[in-house]
Amino acid sequence: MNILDIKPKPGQGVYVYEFPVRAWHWTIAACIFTLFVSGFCIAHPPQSLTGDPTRIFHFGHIIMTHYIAGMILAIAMLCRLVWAFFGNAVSRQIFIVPFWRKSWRDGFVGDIKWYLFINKKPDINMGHNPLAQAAMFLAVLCMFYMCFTGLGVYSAKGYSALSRSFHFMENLAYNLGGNGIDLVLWHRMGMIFLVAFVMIHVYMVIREEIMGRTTMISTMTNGVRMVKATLMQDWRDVRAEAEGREGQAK
Amino acid sequence: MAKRAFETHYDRLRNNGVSRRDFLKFCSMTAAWLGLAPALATNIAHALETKPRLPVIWIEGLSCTCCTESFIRSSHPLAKDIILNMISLDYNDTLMAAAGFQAQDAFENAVLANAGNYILAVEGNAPFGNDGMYCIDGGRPWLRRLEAGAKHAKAVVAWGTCASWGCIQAARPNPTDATPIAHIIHDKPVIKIPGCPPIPEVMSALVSYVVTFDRLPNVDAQGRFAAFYGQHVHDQCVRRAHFDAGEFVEEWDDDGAKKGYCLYKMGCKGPTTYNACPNTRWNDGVSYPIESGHPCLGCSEQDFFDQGSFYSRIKDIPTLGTMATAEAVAAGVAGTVAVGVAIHAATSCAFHLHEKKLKEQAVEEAKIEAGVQEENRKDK
Amino acid sequence: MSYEYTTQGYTVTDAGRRVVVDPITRIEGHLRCEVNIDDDNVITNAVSCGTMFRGIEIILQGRDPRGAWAYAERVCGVCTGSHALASILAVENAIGAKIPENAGIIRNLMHLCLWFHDHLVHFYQLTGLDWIDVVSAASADPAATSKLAQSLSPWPKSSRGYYAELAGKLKNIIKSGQLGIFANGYWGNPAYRLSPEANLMLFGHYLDALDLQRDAVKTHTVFGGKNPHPNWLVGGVPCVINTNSVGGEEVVNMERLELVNTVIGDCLTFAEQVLMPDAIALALGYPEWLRLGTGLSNQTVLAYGAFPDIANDYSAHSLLVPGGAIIDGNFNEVHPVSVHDPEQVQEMVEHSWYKYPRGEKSLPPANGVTEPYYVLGPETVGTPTDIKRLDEQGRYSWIKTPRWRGHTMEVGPLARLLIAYSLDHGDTVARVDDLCARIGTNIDGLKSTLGRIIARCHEAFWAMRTSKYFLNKLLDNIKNGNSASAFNDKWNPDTWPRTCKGAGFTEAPRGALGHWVEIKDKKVSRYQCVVPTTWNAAPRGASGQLAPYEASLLGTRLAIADQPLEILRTIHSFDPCLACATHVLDGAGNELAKIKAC
Repeated sequence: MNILDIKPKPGQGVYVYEFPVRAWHWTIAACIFTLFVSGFCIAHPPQSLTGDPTRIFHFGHIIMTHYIAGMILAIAMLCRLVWAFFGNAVSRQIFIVPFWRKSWRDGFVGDIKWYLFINKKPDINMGHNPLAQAAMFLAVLCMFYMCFTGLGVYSAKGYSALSRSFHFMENLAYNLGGNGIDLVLWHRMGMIFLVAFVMIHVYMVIREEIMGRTTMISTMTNGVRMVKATLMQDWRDVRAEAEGREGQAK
Repeated sequence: MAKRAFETHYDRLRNNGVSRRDFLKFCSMTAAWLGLAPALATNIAHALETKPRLPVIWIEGLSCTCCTESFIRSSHPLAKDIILNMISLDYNDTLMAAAGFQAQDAFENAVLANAGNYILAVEGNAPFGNDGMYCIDGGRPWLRRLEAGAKHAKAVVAWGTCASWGCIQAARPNPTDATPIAHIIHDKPVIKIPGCPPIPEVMSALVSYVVTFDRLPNVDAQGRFAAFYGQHVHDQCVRRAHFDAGEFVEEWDDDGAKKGYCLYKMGCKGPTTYNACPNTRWNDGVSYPIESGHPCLGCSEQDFFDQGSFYSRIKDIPTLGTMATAEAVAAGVAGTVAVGVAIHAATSCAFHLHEKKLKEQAVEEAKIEAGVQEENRKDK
Repeated sequence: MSYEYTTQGYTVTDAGRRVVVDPITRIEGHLRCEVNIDDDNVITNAVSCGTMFRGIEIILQGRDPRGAWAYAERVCGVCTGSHALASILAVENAIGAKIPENAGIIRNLMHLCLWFHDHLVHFYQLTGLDWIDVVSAASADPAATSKLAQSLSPWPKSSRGYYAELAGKLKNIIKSGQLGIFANGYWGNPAYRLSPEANLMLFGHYLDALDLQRDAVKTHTVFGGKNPHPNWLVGGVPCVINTNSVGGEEVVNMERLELVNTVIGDCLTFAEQVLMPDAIALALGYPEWLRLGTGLSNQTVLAYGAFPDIANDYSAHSLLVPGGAIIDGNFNEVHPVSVHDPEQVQEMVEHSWYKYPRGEKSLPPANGVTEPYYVLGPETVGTPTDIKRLDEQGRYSWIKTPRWRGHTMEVGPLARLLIAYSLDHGDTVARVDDLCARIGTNIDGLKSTLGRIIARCHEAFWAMRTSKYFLNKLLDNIKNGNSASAFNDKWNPDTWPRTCKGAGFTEAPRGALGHWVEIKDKKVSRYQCVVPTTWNAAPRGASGQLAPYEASLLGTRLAIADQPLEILRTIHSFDPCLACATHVLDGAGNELAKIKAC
């Protein structure tokens, strides 16, 4: 049975995020945080130091940090892509958005209504909810885009095999009428998207943890998605239950 | 034009009083300077001994003549030696003696006499606006001269950023529709020597390379002379150590500036500019912009006038009808998202508390109801 | 349709044969010249047409004003730096920025370096071949040449062997058939009047100058990082002075200052021992050219002034080169000139390929409105993309027609010299009288084609002497512990008024240069330049008033009608810079606000 079709009872859980997915998630989370901070420092270097440049390598370390984090991110993204072929259905969700399915589209609309406070009750999804799935898909695209622009900047006129294979990024910038600094600009613009994504992602996860009907944060640590039992059970269900009992009694 | 006497560079040098010993020394220095194996010095000597001077036709479109000015600043080889000994500069608006139709004749003669053998050196670029009549030459669009010159050329050299990329007149909004040479000439090799202007010795290095080896030099993917445009200014910079150390000029003439710290924070474009400035330097190796305290403008790069302020590393992004820096856009997006999240969170809290209240009420009611039912059952 | 009329004391008629010179070479940019000659080959009508247009002022709109200099600098690569200087002065004027004293000195040193370089290259490389017959030089007797050279100057490169080698070199070039830049020249034209020996000597100096000009610009390289197109800075200069503490090896230090000192010394020696003697030799060899090509130089001349001795003070008592305007040939009265007064400088487009939308006759540059309007006159021969003959009754140039209080003015080294002479400024009168005595003429003899060239050489010499003065001043400041080179207080755009306007002026090598800038919301909202060659090479005014190029050609006789040597001599004497001249003003068209004074 497809893992996405399991409908667990309240209080029950399903193992959705396999270890590689979780490891990938927290790795890139750390990388992105590091990249944000080091990237900001590269764009806006900290207050100038003074001293013997033979011994100080302060800014060089910041850049090196950015490079290393970027490399880890790129490798993690590559591994994640590979894992999608071996992992469960949830692991493929962020790469394929089944927008052609009516059920998906209905869920997508339902999610938007839930976030606009029109629907009083969210759907239960074992994987990502459709709205989140679309957002994850864009974020993954952006991540690859950041890897390409970042490696483009990194390898411009480097002559290793790796560098040469990313020269096309800079040539693309030239062929579009700009130069290497455009690559930096494109990289920054991707960063702007990622900042927005991360802010919304973190907020949504916390919100869902509190208001939604399944677990979120713990799922990414132990992999199990629980449907909340009674604690967050909807009052309508309580009432429905009560009414049901009432009916029985009559 | 007079009948060509077959005189080689070597003859010329000998006639000018250069001894064979000095000549060979010159050849080995040229080899060293071009980064060639010492053995190739003999090739150079052989080439110069057996070939007539290279015909060069130098035409000038929309430009500021800074390329010609730069060319005559060449120190090694000296400009006068290039003009008198290495090449035959058969047409050049700024230096040639003839004018008017005699100049036009000189052009046509040079093209005919050297068809297929001459180098067409192009300074500036061609406007397409107003049927090309933003740049008139002999009563006709200058574009016609470019086409006529390119037709029989062995190769085309695009001097400077104008010819290579478009430069100032092609900067936004490009009022004359100025178009770089490589976008006009497709059937000949076009070698770009960008820079506004290019470094004098890089210009003359191209000339001596072609004269010496009788072939065109390697170019990179963008058509630039690979030997001089393969590295960023940043990677060769004398102030690079300060960059790595995190030692920056914070404002003009501050303590860091007096110690020669890195100009990155002042908007230096060195990290994305391909040129040989820090190594070859300017005007006989005296200095280059960063060494003299000003950030690199990126003048050898395509579109360098349209990258926002010269004093900021952060390029502008065209937004609705105006320009904003990437920084402003980032702040705007992050701010909007933060505000959106805050509003949504507040609404969610209110919603959640309301729901919770309703739920508690329902639970309470249910309990009461259950209690009532219980009592009823007991009563029964 | 033939015409004839009289203006400014000249009779203009387009009867007679038409001679077209296009391109005029050995100038900066693209220029076309058409003249009518009568049966005696005397020029009776002259038409000067600027044949390029780039629109740099349009491009400047919306840019960071602190970087405007880099755009303005690309107006011209020959007078490189002068537009950048005018631009930063205009921006500083607008935002109220001040500069340290050292920055003022360094800017003056750089600008003087440009003056010398530009004048040197002009004398030898640009106009030299109009006066020196290179082919004749090949037949000179080296011994006689050496004797001639040594009688004129102590310049050491004047041995018999040197000239023998040089003549041999020339002979070889001629023999090879690959004449290169000398191909198709007017060699043997009877207007070349110098002896073979004088030609050989001057050709030797042509090559010496080609070598020296490389070194001459090193002042730019030290302070501005490169040449052509050195770097400038709003609020000071980018280079930093550190002569006595850690890090000095990476900025302007004692070695750099000594390099500048050496360069200035070499240039001064060359000016003294080669350039001035050559200029005088030329005057002695071509005395009739001290009468020809007067144009407007005896009627209306203009200069804005340059080289403030006191930093931030651009008023008359601070300027080492005074400004002023002389009109109606009255050299006893010099009118004060201000770029801040919209009544003074105005531009017309009657005969230019631009139009004013409301059909104004003329507009001040700070209020200029222009759009390209390429329409040829009805008498034009040829097609719009293949012009055989221009119609000067219609629109015929990419250059506008500037006016100073309604007068067409000549600008340039001669104008500056005449104004300084009339003002009895400093030691000008003594210097000029001495110069005149050496070439056997008086101040009126300088108002001519050759006078312009000699004034230019004289100025080059003055520029290097003044460089010594400024360099010593800089060293004195450093000695006294003042090594500031830039102020930052107005660097942050938040310190600027929301809207401000400014004007900057200087003297480019070719003459009076003014830039006008308007800044709105930290961006350039309007930018204009009125440049020297616009004054000199302008087309006619509405009433047919001639500009200097056209006026100065009238009355000159061509030795051979098909060889425009005489035309080149006179046009070159102005040192044309067409990339400068052919620009366009912006289309904003706002009402002129009062520009605050410097």
